[in-house]
Amino acid sequence: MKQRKAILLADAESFYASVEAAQNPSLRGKPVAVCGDPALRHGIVLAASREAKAYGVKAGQPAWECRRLCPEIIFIRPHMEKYLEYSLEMTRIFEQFTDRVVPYSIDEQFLDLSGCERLWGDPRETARRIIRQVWEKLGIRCRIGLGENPLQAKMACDRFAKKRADAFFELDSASYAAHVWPLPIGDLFGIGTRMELHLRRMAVRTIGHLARLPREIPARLWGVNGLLLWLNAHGIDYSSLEAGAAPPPKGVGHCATLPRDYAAPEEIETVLLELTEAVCFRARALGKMGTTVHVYCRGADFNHPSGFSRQKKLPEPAASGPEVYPTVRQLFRRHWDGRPVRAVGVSLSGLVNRRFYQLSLFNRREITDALSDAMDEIRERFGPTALFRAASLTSGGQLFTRARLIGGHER
Amino acid sequence: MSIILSKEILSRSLEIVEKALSRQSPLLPLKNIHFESSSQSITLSATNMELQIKVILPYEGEYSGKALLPPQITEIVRLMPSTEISLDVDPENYQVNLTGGRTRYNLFGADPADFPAVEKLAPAEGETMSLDPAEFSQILKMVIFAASTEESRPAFNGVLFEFKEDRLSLICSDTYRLVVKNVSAAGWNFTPRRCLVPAKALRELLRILDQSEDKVLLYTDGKKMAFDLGSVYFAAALLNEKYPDISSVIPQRFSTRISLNRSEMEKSVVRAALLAEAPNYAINLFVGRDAMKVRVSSQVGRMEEELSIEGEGEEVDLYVNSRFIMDILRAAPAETLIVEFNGKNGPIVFRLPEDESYLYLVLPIKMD
Repeated sequence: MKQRKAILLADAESFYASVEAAQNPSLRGKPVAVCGDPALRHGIVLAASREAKAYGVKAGQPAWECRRLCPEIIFIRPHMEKYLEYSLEMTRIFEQFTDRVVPYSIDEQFLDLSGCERLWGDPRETARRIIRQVWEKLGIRCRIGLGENPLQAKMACDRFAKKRADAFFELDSASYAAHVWPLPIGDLFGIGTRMELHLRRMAVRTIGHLARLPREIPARLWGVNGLLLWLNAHGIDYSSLEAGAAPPPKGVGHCATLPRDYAAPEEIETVLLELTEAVCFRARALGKMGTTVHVYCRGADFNHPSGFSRQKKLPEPAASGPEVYPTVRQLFRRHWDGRPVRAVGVSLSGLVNRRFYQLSLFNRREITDALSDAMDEIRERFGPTALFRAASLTSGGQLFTRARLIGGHER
Repeated sequence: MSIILSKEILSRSLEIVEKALSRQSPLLPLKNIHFESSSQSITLSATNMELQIKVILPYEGEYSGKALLPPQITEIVRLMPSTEISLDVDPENYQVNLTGGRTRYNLFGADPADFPAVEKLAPAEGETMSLDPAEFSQILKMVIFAASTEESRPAFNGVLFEFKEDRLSLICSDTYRLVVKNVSAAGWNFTPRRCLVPAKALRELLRILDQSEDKVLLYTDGKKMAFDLGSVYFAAALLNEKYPDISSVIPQRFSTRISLNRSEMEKSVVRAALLAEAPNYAINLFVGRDAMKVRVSSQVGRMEEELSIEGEGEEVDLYVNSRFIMDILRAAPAETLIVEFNGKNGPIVFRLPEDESYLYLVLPIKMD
């Protein structure tokens, strides 16, 4: 008989806020919001504690709105480095139970417990032990969904375990329909607001409605994606943790929301140069070069969206600022409409091996390569700001601000 | 007054001329064929500013006029049911009547006044080169395949014609490989100059050359390069791009030199290339004293094959784009080829035996 799989999804409750409370017990039981500088424009709520959520505070709200909902709210500035540490710490706890742990996001991780019954006993009991251990060791409440595949585990966690006092729920192929089908269609994994609207217009209001459609209908309307949603509605998921664990990246990119709107082309170009350097650095760290560069600019005026998103093939695959930046600047100069810019981004795609490439007659890549390698080594040893371009010292430069951030938030 | 023409001749002439049409252009004269008849000849011309083609057909008769013909004219003539076509142009309104058998077209031609005149260049004394069309076609085919089709560096979309006293050097590269072909003849005396001719235009020229038997006259005014085949006049606007100096790229020495059988190697590389993968299509060459191993290893599988060669110098083990090797093996007009290597990251140079006038250089794939 085919062995029944036991997949867990463990999710940390109000992760950033919980880490802050774990670090500072005086925050326990109080409404806490982790939030960038409330005075600045990235002052939006990244995470809210359970107590703050009771007031209606939600991630993504601006600070002022959050204060209106809950005047006694305690704002905490983010500490991204700490959150990453805690996330890794959770992985370490999970790895005591199985070697198949796959982080899904900073606060969600999949565990494959299939075949571990003899070692740990019933997976339900194991899940409860894991919840206990994470609480005891880290002071973080984690919720676990159990299923026969990653989809069922995710649905069990998001839709049920999070609402239960014991923070655990199990779905399997036999019980999936009874629990999941009555839920509104927007609750199904993989359905965004746009797709929800499409389905609601077709009178598909619950997950059960979608499940009972002939599979050809979603497949015809939305192709593979439609079929996938229909399978999701049935709790069927053919993906495995090993296969989907870490797909090789198709490209590397960075974007930056600017501290104020930039209108001067020199300032925007400075940030583009810094992003180009950062992107090239990441490509090199992966041992890759890019064949196509993509530049993105978003205008400052929300009511009149402007900006562009354009790409161009590089003359030759490259992973160094001096080779990539001319094309970035060319794209910017050609497509920028001259209006103030709020956010910019640069990415490299079509990645190819950096150590295995076609030599070129009129381009001494060995020299640029050696230079890049030396720069990488200096930054590796002495930090990202040990060596930088002079332009970063001009008014537009964001390098020093960005060096203090992880994922756009404070370290 | 009607002109009577052979359908076959007219059809073939139109097919040549229409290569210079710019069908997407918003300008009518650039997407129409200019027709003109005089008492001695009929001329058909077209230009898209990059290319000018003019075909001159001898014809004895009376003046009939001129007009711009719509681009459909080529197909119209090709599909006419008769072997002879009668054509006349109304000078008042440029309408053109075409009759063949029981088919009759009345085409609304346009005023030819705005057509940019296709005037033959007047070459300076002694600055004209005369070549046999088959020979010139052969030379172009040995060179043109190395041109780049990528638009990011326009200089490499061209073939460099370098005139120097009694010699013409054709140089073509896409930055990964380079071809040099020298042509010379007694009595030539050119002012030194470099002309970068678009490879796209030369590919069109090749199709015409293969149908021609007349000598090709080649001359330039520094802005255009003219290829005069007698009844067909073909001129290409030169690319205004800086071409890098290639002299530093060609190695004066080599570490390994072999001679091999061209068709044997071609078959072998074709077999290996079946497993080679984008973007580099890499195959591995291991060159020993009397044998060369052609190997490939990719996600699809592995292949190995051994070829007999005659070699001297060091062993060399390198990776190279199989397509670049296939190109030269297909274009080289000899059964035995000389190949020189310069270590695993140095250029590979293909030469013809006892022929100094040609070389093909390709850079390997670097493997750290």
